[in-house]
Amino acid sequence: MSDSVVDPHVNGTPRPRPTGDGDHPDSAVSLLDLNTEIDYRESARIILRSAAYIRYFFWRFTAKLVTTWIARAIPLIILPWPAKMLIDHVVLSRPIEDASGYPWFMWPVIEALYGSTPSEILLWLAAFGVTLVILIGAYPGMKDSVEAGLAQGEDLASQTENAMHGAHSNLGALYGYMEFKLNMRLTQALNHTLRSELYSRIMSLSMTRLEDQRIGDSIYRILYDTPQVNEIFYQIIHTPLMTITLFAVATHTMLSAYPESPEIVFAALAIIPTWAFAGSLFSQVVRRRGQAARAAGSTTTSTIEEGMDNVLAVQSLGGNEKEKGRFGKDSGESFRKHRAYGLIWMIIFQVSDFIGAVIQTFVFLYVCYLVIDGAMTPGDFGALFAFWYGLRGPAFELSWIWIRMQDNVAGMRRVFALMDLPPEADTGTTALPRISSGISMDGVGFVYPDGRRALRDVNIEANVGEIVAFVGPTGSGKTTLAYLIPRFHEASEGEVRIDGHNVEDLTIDSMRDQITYVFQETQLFSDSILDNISYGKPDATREEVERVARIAGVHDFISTLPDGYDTKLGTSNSKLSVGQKQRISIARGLLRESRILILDEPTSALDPETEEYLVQSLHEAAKDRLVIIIAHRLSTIAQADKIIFLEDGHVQEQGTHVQLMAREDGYYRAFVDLQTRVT
Amino acid sequence: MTTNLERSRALPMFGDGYIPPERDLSVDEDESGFQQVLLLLLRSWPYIRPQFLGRWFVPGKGVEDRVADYVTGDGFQFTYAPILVALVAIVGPATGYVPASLAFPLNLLYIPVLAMVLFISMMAFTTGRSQVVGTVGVVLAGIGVNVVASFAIEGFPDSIYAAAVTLACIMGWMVQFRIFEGDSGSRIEYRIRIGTHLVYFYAINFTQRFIGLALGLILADLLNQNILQNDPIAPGLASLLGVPEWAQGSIEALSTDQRHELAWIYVYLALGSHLIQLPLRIINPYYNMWIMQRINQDLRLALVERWHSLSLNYHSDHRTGDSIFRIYQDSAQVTAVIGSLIGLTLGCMSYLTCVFLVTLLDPLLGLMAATLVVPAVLWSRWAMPRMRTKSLVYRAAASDVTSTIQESFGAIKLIKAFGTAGRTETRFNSDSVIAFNAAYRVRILIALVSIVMFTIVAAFFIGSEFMMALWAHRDEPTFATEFIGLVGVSFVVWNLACFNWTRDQYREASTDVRYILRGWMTAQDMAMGLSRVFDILDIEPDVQDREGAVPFERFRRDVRFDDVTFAYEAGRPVLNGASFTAKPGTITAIIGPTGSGKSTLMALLLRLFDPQSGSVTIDGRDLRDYLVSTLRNNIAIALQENVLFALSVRDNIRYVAPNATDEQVHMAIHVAAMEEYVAALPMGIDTMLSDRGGKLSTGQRQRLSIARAVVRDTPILVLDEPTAALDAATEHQVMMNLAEWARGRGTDADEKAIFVITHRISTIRQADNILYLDQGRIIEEGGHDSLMEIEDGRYRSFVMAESNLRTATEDTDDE
Repeated sequence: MSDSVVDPHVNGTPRPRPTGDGDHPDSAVSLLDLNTEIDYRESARIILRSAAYIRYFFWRFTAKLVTTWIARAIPLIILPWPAKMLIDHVVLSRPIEDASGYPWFMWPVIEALYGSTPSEILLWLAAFGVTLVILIGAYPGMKDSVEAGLAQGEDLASQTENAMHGAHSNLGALYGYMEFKLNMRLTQALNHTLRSELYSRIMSLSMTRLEDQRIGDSIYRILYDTPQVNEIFYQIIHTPLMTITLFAVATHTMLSAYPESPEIVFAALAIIPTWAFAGSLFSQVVRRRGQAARAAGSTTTSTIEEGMDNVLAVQSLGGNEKEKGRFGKDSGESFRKHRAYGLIWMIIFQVSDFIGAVIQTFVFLYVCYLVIDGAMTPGDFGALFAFWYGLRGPAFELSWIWIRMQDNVAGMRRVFALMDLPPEADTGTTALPRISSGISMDGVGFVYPDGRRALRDVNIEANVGEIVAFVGPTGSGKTTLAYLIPRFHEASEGEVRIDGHNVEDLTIDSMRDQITYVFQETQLFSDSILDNISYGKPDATREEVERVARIAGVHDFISTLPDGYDTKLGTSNSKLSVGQKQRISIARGLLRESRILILDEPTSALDPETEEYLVQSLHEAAKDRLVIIIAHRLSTIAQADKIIFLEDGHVQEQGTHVQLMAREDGYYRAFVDLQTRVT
Repeated sequence: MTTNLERSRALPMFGDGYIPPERDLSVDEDESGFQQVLLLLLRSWPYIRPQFLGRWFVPGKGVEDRVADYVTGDGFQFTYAPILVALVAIVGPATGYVPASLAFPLNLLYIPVLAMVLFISMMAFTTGRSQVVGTVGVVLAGIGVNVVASFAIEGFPDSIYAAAVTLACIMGWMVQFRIFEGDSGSRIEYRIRIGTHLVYFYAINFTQRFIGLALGLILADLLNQNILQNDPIAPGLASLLGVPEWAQGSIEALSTDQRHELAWIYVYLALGSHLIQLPLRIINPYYNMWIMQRINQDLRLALVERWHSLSLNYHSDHRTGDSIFRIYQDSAQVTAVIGSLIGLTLGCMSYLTCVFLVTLLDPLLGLMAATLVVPAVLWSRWAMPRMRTKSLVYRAAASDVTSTIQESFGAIKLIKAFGTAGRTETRFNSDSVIAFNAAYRVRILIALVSIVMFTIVAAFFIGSEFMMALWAHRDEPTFATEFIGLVGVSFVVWNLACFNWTRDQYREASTDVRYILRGWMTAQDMAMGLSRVFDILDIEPDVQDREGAVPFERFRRDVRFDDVTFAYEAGRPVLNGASFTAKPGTITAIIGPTGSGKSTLMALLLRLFDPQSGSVTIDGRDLRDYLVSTLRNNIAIALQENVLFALSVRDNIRYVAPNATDEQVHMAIHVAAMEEYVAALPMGIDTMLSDRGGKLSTGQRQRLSIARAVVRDTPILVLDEPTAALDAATEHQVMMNLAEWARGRGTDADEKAIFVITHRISTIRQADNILYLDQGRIIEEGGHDSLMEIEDGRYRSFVMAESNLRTATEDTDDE
């Protein structure tokens, strides 16, 4: 068995499954990063869907559009002329009266300057320049622009940080500052919206689905894939509007100044299809490489997260080297994928640059001929070239729009794939009133999505006021059965009822509010112990918390801690023993005081004394609620009002301890005998 | 539930936004100054070093693993190099390839060449400090020679001469020899430095830039003077372009046809050079990326290695998401360090050069350009501390978001069960907003600082431009006419080309100042990122190999705890004078109430911690005298919390024993009594488990982790509550298998010592020795029978409590 990274399952992708929790057939497949082929239709669909987020940002976006347009237009339309005046009428001392080659809006200025000496013109130009610098940070021949990128690494994740807060203004000074602020807040708001939407969507997936979802992969998608929306957003709406209008304005100004030389405009127009064609050749490979780089990145995140979250295991198993090797391999692979992806872009840019250079050379030749033949001044040469660059920029953006979005499409596809998974279906319509009687199951069966059968034909009843124990050998389906009650799993057949309502008709919130489930694996948060206990009931008083901590037998221990209940727990909680963690999570469950309390192997790590005390307290509590305990310990089981004995997913026996022990060949009796046999 | 509309309005449209005061830093809390930042950046050197120094390739032996020496070492030398350099230096002028004259500007060339010969001799023949001086001298003189040859002297031969001298010097660094005194007489050994990627990269880069610069200068002159205006072509330029006759004796203007032809020459030159450089432009950035990724990978691995070797005390106080962020984002800053330092140095050099060039044309202009430094320094003194604190706040906030995501998905079951998804989401939203606000503040500061700097610089620029325009209007002569004439361009009076060129130089100087300020700001952020990396690298692991530690090879006699005391936090001992002995071939059961120190006892055996007093010894040797890795390799543990990885069942079992054969894996599966279960899995032993082994029941996971411990076949095996989630029958089976396995299965295998932490009587009964722990003390010790004899014994009452049930059952039966 090779543990190669290309193994499909390591990429955080579940196998396609024959049946699912009500999902449409291709939802599992769409998570596959291996399937990097995206056809043009899907690509276009993803782009449109990303662009649709504009509906939340309409005004901000419009404001950004207008300000950017102005910021792009001013340098293009106004700035060339003072530069030309400086060269023609000051440096080369041509009389201002002989001025030619200015657009219509410059003529009033030129005429006003008639009769001025070069020095006077110089002074006017200086005053104009200072004003421009203060207002827009631009001046003929020198222009500020605002950006605030930070250093980034050679991998997608760290480059995403810049994209997430990306903002830009083509001007500086007061104007640029304002536009920059507006732009950054817009980008951030867009990212925040998308990433918190994705977060919320993942949180709402069903438990079965979440068990297949690697945490590192979720981190990667939420943090590093979602920022891809920006570029699509700007590219698809912003760029065409911007480029077309700029192109039009630049063309208009140029033709007004040089009506006899429209060739430059044609050349700029010719560049668009040439570039667009060259770009389209690369679109498949860009998508594929982008997707592969992201998949490798999220595998790396998963590996590192897993190793770190399990540091106790890694250290005590002596897995340090192993973890380093695992991470090193994944990380190296992700760098390699990113490099391949980077190489594609370098080739694309250089090829497009060369095409641009060839066309530009002909423009150059043409203008040179005009100057040499005396049709234009050397100052015109500068102005014309300024126009050329002004036209070239938009032409470039327009022609590369499709290809540039391909990479973003790869990222957004990963986002949408997860977003489109069906959330835990809250089919319920009825809110569950306060539970009064109890639960019943009728012919219930459960089959895992991968086809393994866990339960068949379960018929049980459990009422408020009882302690019910689920007992049976390892893997007999006890936990699965308990999961059906709060609808963590949905029964594949039969009905699970609470107070006579089918759980599928109950709203999830109203139901889970009244059911507390204490899991086998304890899960504590890196908060204080107090916060951990009051997790399910944040407004609980200190007294309440201490009371349940006493019942769970953890109060004395907490009191010995220097900070008591305010002790902060870190990630691996190594300050606590497993038994202590277990007690804290029992306390947490008790504090909710819900009508149904399910304890999944609560006492396995408890010593007999604590356990004894806990079980007694549970009896106390069970007066007005239903307590379900999954346990192996006889001392716990024996005190239950009803024992449900499961084997191979089927209820073999039920009754009280005494009743069941009375059966000579009973399963339960055999089970007990085995455990108490003193050999 | 939050809607997208609400989400879209969570951030202010404009303005700073809220950051809670406790997560914010004020500028007074800045701890680093100029020096510290520089130091932080330089601390990344150990990770950059391998790419710079490369490795030694010794013919016949292959490439060495270690990073090559800075200059020399191991008796290797390169005494041939000074001779070679001197030879090359003399051959050039002696053959007349380079004019043999000391007239200006050739003296500018020969003096540094001479210096190179001297310095390389110092480098080759001395060691220690004078060798360092020699090295620095060679580098500086080498730069000088190449700059003079490129810019001050016309033509190519001198450039090639300079390059040859430089290459001869580099050869000494790259190829070294030593005389090896072997048994069979002495022979000469060579070694060659290879893989000095940063050197290769910058050499390629320099060449490329040099070509670009030289072409640019020629093309600009051609375009402005000869094509756009019909000024006469300079003789040097004409001969370079292959049309020397156009410049012969003529002060007269070029004809229109000639200018047309020149325009075509311009086109060929421009396109030709573009095409030639095309592959380089693709390969060069790719190469750079490759090098930087290697540097980053080395740092990441160093971090992960250190992280995993830190004691659990550290981990209990830190969030996983924070570490992920440090490894992913903060460490990536290392890739920018070298570029940034080089960029800043080049920026400074370029600035000085521009100021110098402008001064040649007019001293007043030069002074103005030089004064730019003053406002830049003042402004950065205000900005940099703010940048640093804001950067730290931003990095911390961003790692909090990572942690929040990581923790909420780690606890997803609980969140679902308790219906707290809404609260978790609120928390994520608020963390996310704070991270955006923090990022906003950093970036807005950058924007503000650059904008203000631009305004200052632009004011200077406008002033000088208008002075120049005025001079050009009056056709005034420039200042250093003589020197400029030598460069080969026609800047003797202020004409259009001179105006444009000087303005470009001046603008370059202004841009350089802005660039340096901007770069230095980014460097602050970089340094803060790296400081978060070094924070982890600087923590000395509590548990380290002692000097002279020996590998743990074989377990023979006993494991002995002698009066061991241990506390996670001072004043709260978890173990308090614990002593016991365990021998091979025995099972020791450790029992006692929750929190009595059972797991800690075993953690000390694995040396996850060191005891504060007392000692743990194996075969009479203190654990601290063994190499940690070999020790842990010889102790297998099945943990109470059964951690599984997202690997196949087989690979989970082989997690730390990757070389285990299938036979061994199956044996382990047998011992853990999970044959049936594995057979029932959809893909059997190759079934993939998801994160944390979801889908398996706790009992199944528990057995899998027993199998994982067993497959390692180590002399010491620790089982921490191995059977808590197993039913009695399975547990019995597992314990029987284990006992059999411990006794050596066959005849050849060693006997093993097994430690079991448990509450189960049936498990305890299989033990040879029972330790009863309470509050960190072993209060009872012995076999089951002997302990049962203690009248008020804790063990006895424990057993009674567990088994009174049976008595109760029997009573019921009797009735």
